[in-house]
Amino acid sequence: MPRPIHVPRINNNDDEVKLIAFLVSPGEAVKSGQAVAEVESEKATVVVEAEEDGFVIETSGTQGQMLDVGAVLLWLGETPDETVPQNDPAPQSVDGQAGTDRPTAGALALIGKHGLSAVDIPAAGARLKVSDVEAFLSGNAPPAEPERPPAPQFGAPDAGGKSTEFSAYEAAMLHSVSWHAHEAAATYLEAAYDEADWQAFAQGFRDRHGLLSSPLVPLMAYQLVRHASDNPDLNSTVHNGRKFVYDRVNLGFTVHIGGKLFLPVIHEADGMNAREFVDAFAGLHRSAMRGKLQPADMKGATIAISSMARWPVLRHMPILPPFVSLMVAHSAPQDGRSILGATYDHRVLDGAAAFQALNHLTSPDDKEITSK
Amino acid sequence: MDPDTARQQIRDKITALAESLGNKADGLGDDDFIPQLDILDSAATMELIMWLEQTYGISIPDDDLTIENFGTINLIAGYVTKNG
Repeated sequence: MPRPIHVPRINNNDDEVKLIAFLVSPGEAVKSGQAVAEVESEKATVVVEAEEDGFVIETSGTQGQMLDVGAVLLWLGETPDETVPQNDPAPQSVDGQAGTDRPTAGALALIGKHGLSAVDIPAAGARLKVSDVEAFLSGNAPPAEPERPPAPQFGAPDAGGKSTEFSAYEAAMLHSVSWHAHEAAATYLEAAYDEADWQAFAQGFRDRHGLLSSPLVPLMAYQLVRHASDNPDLNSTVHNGRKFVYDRVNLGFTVHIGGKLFLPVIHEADGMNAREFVDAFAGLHRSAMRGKLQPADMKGATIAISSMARWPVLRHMPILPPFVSLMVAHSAPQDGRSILGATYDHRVLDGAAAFQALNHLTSPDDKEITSK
Repeated sequence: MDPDTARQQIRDKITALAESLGNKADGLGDDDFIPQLDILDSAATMELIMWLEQTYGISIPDDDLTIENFGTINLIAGYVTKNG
């Protein structure tokens, strides 16, 4: 009997995703785990995989089309000549909740923003969607606050060209950079140090644990995690004009793959020992290289590190990810000296606090790294 | 698969990755212990693993990423020959 593969949810607030391409065609045999389609939201691109072996019977949608999350993306059969059921199944609840008129995540956010109740809003389809709430607002209620005009832009391009939409990746990058530029009071400082101690320590760790390569950056990141765990100000941000101290330390680190920059996140890193952390770091790095990072793998960073040592860049000033107040920049050594930099949100951290954190990383702290 | 060909391909790839990091890998022997040569960083090591998967049509589980399987050119060639 044919089984459907549904359109996945990528972000909580996106009820639709764009179909980039089908990677298989009707009649084609697929294996469990094989990539069958690529879809993207405002923030990420995701490869959809088959969950079992079978034959592609039918695909739904065309390249560039917006598809409802939970709708059938394609049908798989045990043989290539099976037929698709006449009665389409109800859209799958990808959030694991039942209910045909349950609001989508985007609709719920909008309902909450305007202080409405879902039961007062009629749904045009099976579920209450953002478009339903917007229609209700335009017809029944005054807007909660006047719409802001677009931020004024000084000048304009003075040479010929055309205006195009940002890709999902570009839009996500723009979002991060805009937060850094317009929300955070982003400031930078750096410290010089001799990396020889770190190299020796990382090589020793590699040999003791039988690793294939020296985990210098992961161990430096782990020491940052431990330090942030003991100094909650480093693991804080600003939200709604108030200081927001994170419960756990989630370490984001940059990975540059195929011309794109990703920030995988090791969640609850403060609960790991050094070996667990190094393995998690390597596992996420491999997922990134395989194009298997999931949206959840890139969410929730509370502190971050970036290394450009392999290019080899001698110093760099990282952009703060949204709601992160400290991002450490590791660079390549030159003539026995290295530069460790830090971009920090001066609303949360002053220069002394940022420097103390940075200075703490200029040499390995065996006791701190191996204490768990 | 001819093991000699595999060994040469693997040596060429490791040498190219090492040189991209500014490290010399001339004269890399089949039984030289690669991790201790410090010619590949962690990202380059993962790039090597991805290349092995694509070149030899294999899938390498995380649990197999050990020095016992990938510590030397001979060990790597043995692994891809056995699993390819």
